[in-house]
Amino acid sequence: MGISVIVDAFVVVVVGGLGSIGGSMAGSLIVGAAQTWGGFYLPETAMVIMYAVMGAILIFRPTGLFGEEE
Amino acid sequence: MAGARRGLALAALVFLGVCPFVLARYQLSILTELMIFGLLALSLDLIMGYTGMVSFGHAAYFGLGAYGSALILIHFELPVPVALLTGALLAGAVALPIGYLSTRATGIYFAMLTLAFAQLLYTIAYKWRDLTGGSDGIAGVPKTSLWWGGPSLASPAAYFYLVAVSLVLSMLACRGLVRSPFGRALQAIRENERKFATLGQDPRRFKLTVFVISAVFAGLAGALFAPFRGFASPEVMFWVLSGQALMMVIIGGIGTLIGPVLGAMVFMLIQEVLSSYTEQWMLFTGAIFVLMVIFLPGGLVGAVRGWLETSASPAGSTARLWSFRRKAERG
Repeated sequence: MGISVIVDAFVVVVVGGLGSIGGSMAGSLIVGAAQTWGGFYLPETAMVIMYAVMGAILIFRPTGLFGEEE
Repeated sequence: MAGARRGLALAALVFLGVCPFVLARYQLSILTELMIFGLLALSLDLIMGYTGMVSFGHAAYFGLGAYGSALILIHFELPVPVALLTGALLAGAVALPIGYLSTRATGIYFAMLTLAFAQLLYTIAYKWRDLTGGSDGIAGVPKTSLWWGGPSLASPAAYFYLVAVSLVLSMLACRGLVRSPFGRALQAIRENERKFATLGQDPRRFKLTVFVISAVFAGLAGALFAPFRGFASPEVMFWVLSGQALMMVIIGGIGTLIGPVLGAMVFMLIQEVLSSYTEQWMLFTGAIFVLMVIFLPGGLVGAVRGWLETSASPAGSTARLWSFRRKAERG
């Protein structure tokens, strides 16, 4: 029950950066767009596109897009 | 205290030794499974409890071990220890680049990176039908022999001993590891990474090393699991198992060696018993875990330790109260 939403929400918050509300909004747009377009153009990757996007972002920005440096 | 611990360890070894003679087949297979997941939880505690890196993708290395050992056993029919070694090394080899990239981040970001890579590996296992059999997985993994022409491991008792020996040796190895200078360094990183860095050492090197070691043990657990169950499927790489491994460590006691093993056993037993009584077992397991986390914050081991301390000395309870208050003041 809603268990996939938990992970989705986590991914969105982490992509945007903890403690940044604007970041979460940006994160939700990025994750949502990636899932929808990714699922449409590359259906093979639908299962993993969200994680791939998050991984790519975190590798280059280890505290998310708008997260503060620790 | 040390004598009592040695006595307990000896009793546990004797118990494991006689199990195949006194337990029924079904109980023996449950206990074997519990020990395999105990090993998985132990490996997670190396990075989570001793180094302070919470991984949310530990199932991936368990799954890599399972697939590695399953493929070796299916295609080459080599002895089981060769398959164990292959699974463990495969998990370690894959953990190296993943750890290199993941340790750039800390805290929740590290956890999410490990989750991302684990889901990536899960998808590969799911989609690479030719190698992994897709969602069907690899079935019919044989329990071959102990060495070339050696005794067969097909009987439940023989496999039980194999798993028990693997678990005990792994626990001893982890014990040596956390007590070594390297292990001390890990605990220093857990307490304060920035202070550790000011001592002139790069914490990332230590974190990467322990991440790979931890993945090797998780891979060993997975490599034991595939022949035990007779199959490897993508389910063993799914993030739900990673979450369960976290629960096992928390229930048993973070930062201890016996805790995760006990935690895994209690976790699996509660599920096993409750699901045989009621359809709504998840409701009850959820409630039990919430209560355990609230009332046993140090896990099972923490509770037993606290109880031993208070009963050992009359002043113990006051001492505990003070240590509790000091902790509260530190925030």
